[in-house]
Amino acid sequence: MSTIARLAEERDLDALMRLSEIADPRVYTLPRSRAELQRALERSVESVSRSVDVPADEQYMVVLEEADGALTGVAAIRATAGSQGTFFTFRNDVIHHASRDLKISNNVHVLTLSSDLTGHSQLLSFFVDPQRVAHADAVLLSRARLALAAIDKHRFSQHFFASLAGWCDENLASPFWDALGRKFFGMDFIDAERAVSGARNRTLIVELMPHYPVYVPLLPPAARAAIGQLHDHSELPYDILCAEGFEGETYVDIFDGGPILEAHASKLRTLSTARLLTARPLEGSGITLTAPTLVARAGAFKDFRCMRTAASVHADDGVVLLSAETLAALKVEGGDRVLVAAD
Amino acid sequence: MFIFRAIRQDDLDALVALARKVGSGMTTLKPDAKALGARIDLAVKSFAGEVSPREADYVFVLEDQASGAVAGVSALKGAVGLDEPFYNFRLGRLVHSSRELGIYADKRTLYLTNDYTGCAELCTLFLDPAFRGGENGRLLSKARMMFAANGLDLLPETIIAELRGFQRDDGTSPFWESLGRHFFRMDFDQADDISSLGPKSFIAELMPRYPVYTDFLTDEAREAIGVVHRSTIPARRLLEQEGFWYEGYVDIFDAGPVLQAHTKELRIVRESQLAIARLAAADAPAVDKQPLLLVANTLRADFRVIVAPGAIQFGRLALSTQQLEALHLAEGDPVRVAPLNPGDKLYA
Repeated sequence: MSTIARLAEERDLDALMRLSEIADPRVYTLPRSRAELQRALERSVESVSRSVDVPADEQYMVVLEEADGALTGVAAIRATAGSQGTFFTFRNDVIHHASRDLKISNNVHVLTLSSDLTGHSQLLSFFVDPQRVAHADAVLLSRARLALAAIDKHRFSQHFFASLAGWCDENLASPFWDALGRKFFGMDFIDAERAVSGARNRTLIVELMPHYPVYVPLLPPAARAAIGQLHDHSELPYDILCAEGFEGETYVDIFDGGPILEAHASKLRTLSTARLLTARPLEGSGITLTAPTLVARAGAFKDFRCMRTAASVHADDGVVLLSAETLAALKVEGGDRVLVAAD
Repeated sequence: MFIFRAIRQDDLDALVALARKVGSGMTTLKPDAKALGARIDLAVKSFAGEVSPREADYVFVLEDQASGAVAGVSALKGAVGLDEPFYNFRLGRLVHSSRELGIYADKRTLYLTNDYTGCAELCTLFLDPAFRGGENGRLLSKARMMFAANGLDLLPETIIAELRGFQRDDGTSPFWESLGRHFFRMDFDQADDISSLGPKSFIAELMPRYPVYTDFLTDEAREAIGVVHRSTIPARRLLEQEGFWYEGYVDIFDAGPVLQAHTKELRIVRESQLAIARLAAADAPAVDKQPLLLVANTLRADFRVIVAPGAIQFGRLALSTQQLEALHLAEGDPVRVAPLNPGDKLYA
């Protein structure tokens, strides 16, 4: 049996609680208290049970389950960022200032408070136990969220993004925050994150953050250097998302200046290569040459299960051949529909 | 006796010599004979009424009657910003408040504006250090307002004066270092020179177009906003006593304050009276106890002002022969009279 990713269930609370205790505090969107975690779980279960035509405030939690049943990773996807509000980011803009008379040409970098990403689907709360989870399984967990979107397009936007933790020191002090947010919030970075529970859609953000573009050359060097700067602890999700097809030049987080990766569905490997095929047992087909593939159960949304496994894809015939072990792990039988995406 | 008078073509050499004594930091008075000659041409035409009031640039000199030396210069522009934009920062405020977090933050912002377009301007004041002291500084500055009182129909409603901003002991401007330098990438003096001499469109081309939160400036730069240069503190006080006030507009380079006044509400305009010049009796007693008055003729092309102690009596002001000569007047001509210092009386 191998590792699978599946939607979280209410019985996962204890295991998730243990996981959140070892999670890096910089995964600001991961609930920490038992009560918050329970609410997040209930929200996910409730979201799954909804019949959705237009994505709204649904949020789905996906867990990584080892063969022995242990939960070693958690990640989430929000159907629309900023639901019941506006999702705020800073957009990197360049204002060209040129004087022909003086022969001066300046490209002035500004940060503009932006609501561009409102309504886009957001990948968040990614954490895997670094002691136990292999890279391939971390990729599985991250991609499983997009496989959900491939299975039920109506539940998500066609635009996806993820905000990664920006640079801060061991005391959770952020030079970007100190030069910018602190001027308006008058509090420490981590206190502000707690005040908004890691959210970026709160009214207080537009109440407090600068209404006009911030001229980056006016910020101190440490703050400038932190713009778009990834925190070491976020390298894993960052690398996985970049390999998936996400890009990050345009937006940064309004609190710590961390990078925001975004992409249209068509640019993402999982979504652009996804096919719905009919599962058939490999055994007896005479075929042995198989390649690793992302395969997900495509039946009822709530029964979503996803794994990385060897498969023999015959897209022209609408068929994928899977081993008996894989069929069992996905709880799929020959003849069921499965989603297949390139590794 | 010192006479404040309209500049003449033959003042060019003296003006260039005066400009040589200015040193750096005053961009409108450089020892450039061509530029100063052009300015005198325009001033002479302005006094003669040959240009429209909006284009007028009235330049005055302070003449030491004894030697004929030019001791100082000052000017009044009919309007600013009408042929090329006149820029200032307006210090605004934005309140950022969150009831939920109990935060109330009163933020200061700098907006690039042309709000003073069309206003008259007091400018280009310089008094030769050798002639400082006594009433010369006040005469050189305040007599311009006597000209305004004579010619209210020539001037717009609002009049302004830009004052030199705060500088460090080494002559650098903390405001420039914190803001302008990032957009101009040159030294303050260089930018200021270009601004005073060349076309000003480059300011709009290079300066921040969005409001700047002063929080993003250095503390030193923020504290310099609206603060005058140490040597300009007396000039600011003088103008404030004459009816000028600081409305939150500052220079875009050094953040020196722009003071503004309603032309008709200037103390000198309100208090000045017309009187008939009378020749004082040759044996009249000394009048040291009488307050000092600004006494101006009512001519435009040959405008002249002196400071004299005295008082209006029965609509007349007694002046000596020398004083009448200094004003290019004869007995019976009208004069405009105002107390030199606020609080003094015109009447005995």
